[in-house]
Amino acid sequence: MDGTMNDRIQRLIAAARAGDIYPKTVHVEYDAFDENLSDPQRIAKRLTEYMAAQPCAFSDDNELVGMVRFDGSVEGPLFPRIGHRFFAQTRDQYYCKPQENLCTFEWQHSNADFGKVINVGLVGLRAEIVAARRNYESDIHRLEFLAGLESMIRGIVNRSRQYAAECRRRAADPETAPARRAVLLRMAANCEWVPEHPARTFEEAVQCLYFCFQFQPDSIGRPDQYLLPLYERGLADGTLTRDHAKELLQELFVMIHGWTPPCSKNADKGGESHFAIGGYTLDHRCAWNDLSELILEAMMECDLVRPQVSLRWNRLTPRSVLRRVLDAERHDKNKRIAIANDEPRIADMTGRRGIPWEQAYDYITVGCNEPAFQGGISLGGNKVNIVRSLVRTLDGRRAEALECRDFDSFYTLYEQELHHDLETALNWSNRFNMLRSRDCNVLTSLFMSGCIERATSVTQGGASRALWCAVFMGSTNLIDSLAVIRQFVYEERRCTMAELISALDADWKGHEALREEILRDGRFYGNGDDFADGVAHRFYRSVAAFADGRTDFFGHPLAFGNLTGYNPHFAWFGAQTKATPDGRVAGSALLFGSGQSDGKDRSGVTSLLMSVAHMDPTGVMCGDSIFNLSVDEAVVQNDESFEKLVTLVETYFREGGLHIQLNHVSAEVLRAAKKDPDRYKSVRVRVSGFSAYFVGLKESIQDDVIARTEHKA
Amino acid sequence: MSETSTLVFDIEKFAVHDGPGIRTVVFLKGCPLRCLWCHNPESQSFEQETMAGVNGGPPETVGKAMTVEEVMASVRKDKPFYDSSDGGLTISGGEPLAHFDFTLALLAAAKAEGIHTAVETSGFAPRERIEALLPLVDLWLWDVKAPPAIHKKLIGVEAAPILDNLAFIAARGAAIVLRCPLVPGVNDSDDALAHIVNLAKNTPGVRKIDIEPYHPMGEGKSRRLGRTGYFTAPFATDADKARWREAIFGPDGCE
Repeated sequence: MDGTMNDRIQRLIAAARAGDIYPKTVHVEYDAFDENLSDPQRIAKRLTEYMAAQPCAFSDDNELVGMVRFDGSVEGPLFPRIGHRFFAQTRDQYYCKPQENLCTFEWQHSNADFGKVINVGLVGLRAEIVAARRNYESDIHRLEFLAGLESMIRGIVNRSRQYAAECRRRAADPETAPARRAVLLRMAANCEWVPEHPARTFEEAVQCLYFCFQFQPDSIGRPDQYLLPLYERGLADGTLTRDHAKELLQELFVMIHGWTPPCSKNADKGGESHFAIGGYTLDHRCAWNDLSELILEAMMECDLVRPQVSLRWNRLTPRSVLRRVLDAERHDKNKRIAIANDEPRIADMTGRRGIPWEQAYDYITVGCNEPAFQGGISLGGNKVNIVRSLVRTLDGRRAEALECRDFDSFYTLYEQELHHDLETALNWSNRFNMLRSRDCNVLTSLFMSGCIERATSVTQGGASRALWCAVFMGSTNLIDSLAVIRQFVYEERRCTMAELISALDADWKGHEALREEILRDGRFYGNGDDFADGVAHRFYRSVAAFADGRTDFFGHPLAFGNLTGYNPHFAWFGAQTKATPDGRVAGSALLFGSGQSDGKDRSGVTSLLMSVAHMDPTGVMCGDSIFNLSVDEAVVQNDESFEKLVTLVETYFREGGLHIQLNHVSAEVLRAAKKDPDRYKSVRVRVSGFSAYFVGLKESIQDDVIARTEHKA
Repeated sequence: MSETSTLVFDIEKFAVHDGPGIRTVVFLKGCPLRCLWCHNPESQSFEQETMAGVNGGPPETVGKAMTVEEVMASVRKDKPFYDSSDGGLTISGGEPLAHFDFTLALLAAAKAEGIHTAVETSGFAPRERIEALLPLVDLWLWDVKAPPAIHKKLIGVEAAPILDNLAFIAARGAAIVLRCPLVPGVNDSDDALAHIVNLAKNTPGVRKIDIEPYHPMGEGKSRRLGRTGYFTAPFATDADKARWREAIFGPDGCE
């Protein structure tokens, strides 16, 4: 912890870590009369009444205010969708419940355009409402929606005035120390100005962000871009110091951390708080600036789990910036930092998906590192068991599979099943979204791009910026299985398709020798070997062929990915999936992410990185894809080898790798490896010139290595 | 030349300790020396060997005959990593100079493709071999295993020819890193450390000294090779390392 850290922030952190920093919610009885109002008008009225009844709570350490928590009695923020009835119905039916062992419905994100409200204020949004009204003169539903939005603006302004009044009340208290009194008066003035009007200072901007975050508590987008002009102006005219700016950011981060209460099952996770720094500016310059650096510094001084941040790397990012972010990463015990590559992602957005470049250049990260837009909604989000398509080929179409004389004919058959499953998953996704689109939202819709102009709720297709993505569980299992079929059945003819299928039917019982041979000699993905990597290319080309020309029912182009969120879908789907040709036994977990596992990557980290960087020649996997890399903790800790790690990551990006998150092989991993050697076969310990599989060391030496690793950490 | 083959027992990617930048280290099987503390016991014999499996797993064959072209196919895949990090190929062993034809051909192939080359060696080899390799080696990782007085006792051969070879390459402008495996109580006396310091001082072209603290982790591999009587001592302690650093790099301990 930095010794210069401010005591006030330290106390705020302690409070956020110790307990719920939100005020208790106050129950509100709504009058029955309003049942006659249209949905948008009724929701806006009730939200206004609800917010007005909630206490204005903040501590003597706060300089930013605005917290409010919704209790679900009205449709509140779109994330986490408090009060949305049809969403709740969808969730009860599908959330975390694998449908036909193929897909589930998951959380979908939406991100407010905080930069816009900072710049134009609610008055600017109201002007847009007035303008939009002229376009819908005879459309009573849309006019009602716009009236709801306008009424919502009044409710929000009312709430900010309440906070201002509370600040003035406390300032007037004779018990209040003079220094605090001055601060309270400044806070009151801030709340009287924002979010109603455009922010004039950095402090007003952060106050606006803090206040509006309550209405869509998801990604804060690209704060190093939208806060930059006021930051620079404040430094230039002497009204802001770098330290004060840092303090404001830290107070914001404490609130974001505390937004998830300690009693939540997600309290130790980073989840709904990811944002982005760096990347490109809209005029194609490297967007990293002093504020990006300050944000990182502010985060590193705070022992918090949230928010999480990604560096958007691109070809203009200097190595010094990558080194800076990786250096923060290696020192961050809370593991909040990841890095994503702009190049393949922007290329796919502007190319295959036809997204306007101004939007693509401005993409952000959200949740578990999914790409998204400020003022945009994430659709899809379904986890798809991609291994099922192969099981259906081998089981459902067995007679045809047995007739295939070469890999090409087998693959043609497989591709039909793949497209069948992708179509089914898309149908599920459309059904979820249709059901949810019966919800109306007037709170978050205010901050989403397009909802005012279209006079349509964000839940009903109002957002003009959106990304649709479904994610695969088991793509590495699938690619390896196809590669094994190609190698063992058709090219080396070590077994027949009939033998392989009987082995899978018997879950390898009585066929252990075949399984061992596959595990030993199989040419698996992730080894920089054109054989298996070629199978990966073919598979992703098939996925791209499916996506080509298709959209979801709102009309958004399709993309795919491979991450897992909070929930272990890979285990759930795996539990219901029989043995697969890659040597996987029935019921065991599927793999997620772009990497390899269980010792199947045997050609070193550079080969793995090359395979991952080149895995998808089409860009269709530029959705929610991740890659977790385990690196030896000693490499990370030693400055000289750390420098080589920086170059390793940079080269991986230059080769087209999309994302990377580092796991340092820690004492914890080594202990797990000692207990369960089969799962950690590929964990190696290295000491200058010596390297060996950890699981092959004598127990006493294993213990010694563990002790040393701990010592270094 | 690309048909030349030898036994390779490992190809390590993203090697970060064996020369500058990101490197691929090719380990050749077979060494004329028998250092007491050798941490890669499987590297000593020039024959293929079988190592018992890990945790009851299948046995492992150590050493695979590979041609220069086969090794290059693996080495060149990482060219983008070498280029961005000023890394390259390191040939290690075993003793690369004991695989002279192969080492010569592999170095020539790497140089032809613009890949930086390093050779990690004990320096125990006929002069003409070293002379032949000189133009192909960008960096020598040269072992200093023990001072002359106890060299024969610990390593089995005299230090003199090795030191002559070092002087020979130094005189011809070679870039050198001295690699010093240090085993507490065995080769880390004050005299031994002074020998390292003097050698570095009196040999032009020495860029760096690497201290390689002893660890007993070769024991597992020795056991799996069916050997007994493997020399083990405890891990070097932090105090040992501090003393070495001070003796070699001076009071501030910096390299």
